[in-house]
Amino acid sequence: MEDPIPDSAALAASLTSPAEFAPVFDRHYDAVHTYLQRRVGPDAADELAAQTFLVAFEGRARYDRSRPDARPWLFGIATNLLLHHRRQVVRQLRAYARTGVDPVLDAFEGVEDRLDAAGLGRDLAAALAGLPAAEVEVLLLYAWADLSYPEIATALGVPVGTVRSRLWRARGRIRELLPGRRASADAPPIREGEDR
Amino acid sequence: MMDEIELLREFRAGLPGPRPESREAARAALMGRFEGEVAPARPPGRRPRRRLLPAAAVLTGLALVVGLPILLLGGKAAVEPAAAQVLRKTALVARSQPAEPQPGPGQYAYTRSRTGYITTVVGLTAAQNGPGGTGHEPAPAWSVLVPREREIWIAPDGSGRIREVAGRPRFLSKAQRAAWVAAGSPGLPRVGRASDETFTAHQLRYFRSESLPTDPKELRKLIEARQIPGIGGPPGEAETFELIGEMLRETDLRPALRAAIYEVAAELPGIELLGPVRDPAGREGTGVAFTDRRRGTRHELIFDPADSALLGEREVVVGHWDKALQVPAGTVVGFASYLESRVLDSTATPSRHKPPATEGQG
Repeated sequence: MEDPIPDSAALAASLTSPAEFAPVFDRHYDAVHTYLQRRVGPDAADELAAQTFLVAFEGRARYDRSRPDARPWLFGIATNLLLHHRRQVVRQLRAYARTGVDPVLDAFEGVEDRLDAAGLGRDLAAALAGLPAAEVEVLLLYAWADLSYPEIATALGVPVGTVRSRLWRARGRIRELLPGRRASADAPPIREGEDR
Repeated sequence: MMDEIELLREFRAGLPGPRPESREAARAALMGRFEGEVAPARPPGRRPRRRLLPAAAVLTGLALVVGLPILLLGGKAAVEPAAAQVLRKTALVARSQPAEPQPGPGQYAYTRSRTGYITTVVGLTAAQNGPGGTGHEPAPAWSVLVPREREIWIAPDGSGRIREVAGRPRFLSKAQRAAWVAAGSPGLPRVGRASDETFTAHQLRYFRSESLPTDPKELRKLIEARQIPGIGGPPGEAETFELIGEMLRETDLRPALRAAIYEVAAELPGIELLGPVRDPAGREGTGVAFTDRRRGTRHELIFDPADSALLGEREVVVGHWDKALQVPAGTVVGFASYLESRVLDSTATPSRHKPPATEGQG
């Protein structure tokens, strides 16, 4: 069910007719919520996803209309809101690493921890908890939100080269922090001077 | 062997999507902002589809933002025989009514009502920063009940006019008022402010009643499948009740279609009979209601038993979000009384009706 009106047009129209904003919500709410839920669990995700769209609505006048798809912009807002919850995010990851029970997964019935059997989940949680915030955001926008490098650059307001180098560093750290579990190093090569 | 990205993709994988009630509450909170934009005039092109419920939905949204757990109701309600009986009787009355005069070319179906619904006032103070235009919490907001005198003129082609005069806003609770004062009493909708808009073809008719079946079974199927263009929405009986309200409100329906709508309501599980009640204007009628536990409100529709006309409606808090917003159960959060409906030859205010004063204010 593809709506022919691009997000940029809906956002422009919503400046004079606020209800025109509704399709932007309808198109992207689930994706934004799904991502936030994976980051902070269902309850905080309810709150943050709702806030994301309220903030987007209030900030719609500043939307760059040369970009038809609002998804990167919305994920950027969600990421900013997540920063306020960084402590909670890290606490949950540490709890998982310590106890082997992921508080986020634990909020759902019947969802199994796919990494539990190998004990990989705990290691990964510890690794994520130890990464710098800037790298975690790039890494998870890439791995969980399926944003491309340019989209992540748009979302975070940084150059594409920065995205690439942050992702590269984050991947390297994850590898280092997974003791004895050698993941294959098939990440894209990085060129010098990209981290502008 | 997996690389780190593949490994990460397995981390917390397979979570279910958002709960429908979360999505709906978020959407309602957003729609509350649409309402709260308090634009100088509502821009044309926006379909003035009207329901009482966004009112409460806004509240649900706010409740969500302050972190109130949303109550889920399990189980399926049964059809209440007494309510069904009254609605069937109302349907019979409707069927026996003479066809009301329909507006011809150049004429308008005119309805005058006294309504009150919630407007969310947003303190537009939050500056935003960063490339995503973010970095701040949403601005504080207050919900006030704004009574309005409303007139609508609808031509057969769906063009027309809506004029509303706002009365004095009322806070839903002392706590909300106190919070508003504490925030420096930001501007509220002004008393006596009139909004007056004209609409071009199709804008005031969001569904084509002439193409709808008058057989209750067929009509019910279409409504439940949400297959009537303009009468859509999420699934569920609470929404069906809302759609029934929308179809009856400010619409000049053929008696047979009106009857069919009452028959559909009679079959709706969860519908309650209120019995003889007064509408918000104090007129006697027969009430039916639907309690939406998730929203925490009961929506009442009040009919005139003599001619089956929709006299009025009301939406009342039954609990749940009152703790966070400190709005006690029993608070009316939306109302309407339909005072006059007739066919007019122009979009002028009929002469015998004085422009409404902002009566009923404290």
